Amino acid sequence: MAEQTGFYCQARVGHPAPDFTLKTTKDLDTLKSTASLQDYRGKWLVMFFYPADFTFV
Amino acid sequence: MTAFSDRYKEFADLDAEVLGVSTDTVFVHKAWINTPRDKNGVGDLNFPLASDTTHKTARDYGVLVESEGLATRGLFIVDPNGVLQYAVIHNLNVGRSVDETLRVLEALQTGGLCPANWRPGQKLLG
Repeated sequence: MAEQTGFYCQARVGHPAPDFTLKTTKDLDTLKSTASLQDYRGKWLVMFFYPADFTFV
Repeated sequence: MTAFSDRYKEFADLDAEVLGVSTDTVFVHKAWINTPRDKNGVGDLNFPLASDTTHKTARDYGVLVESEGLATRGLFIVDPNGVLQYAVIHNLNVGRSVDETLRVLEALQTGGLCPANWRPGQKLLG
């Protein structure tokens, strides 16, 4: 429980990663391509968050 | 961002996909990708950027700064079965280590016991 922010964090090491479906830049022309956790079954996924575009990462 | 992109091949060689996520829209992502590095852009990226405009994913992964609607610098490694194997979260000001990410990825892929400071190629504990 993340008390300071008042929400429950689902991500726990050793447990299934929280599901997601997000729009991506996979197709830069249409910008309609999505990525879901299931898309990465059978592969390793390195997912990283960052605060905002046009900042250092 | 460019640090991960420049070493994308090392992730690909380990059968790993890379995905960057922020709360920006895909339109802003596209503008950033189309901006050269010397103009504060990322230039061509070797992996896609995802848009968490609802903040749900950042919240689920425990990286959302609710008051600002943006994500701290969390990095997560998910194994081929969908199990979360590694999580590290930096606050906004400190970037991550590509070297350390690759080291941990290789350690996880050994499937064995990797002691402190284990490096790829070193022997396992079991």
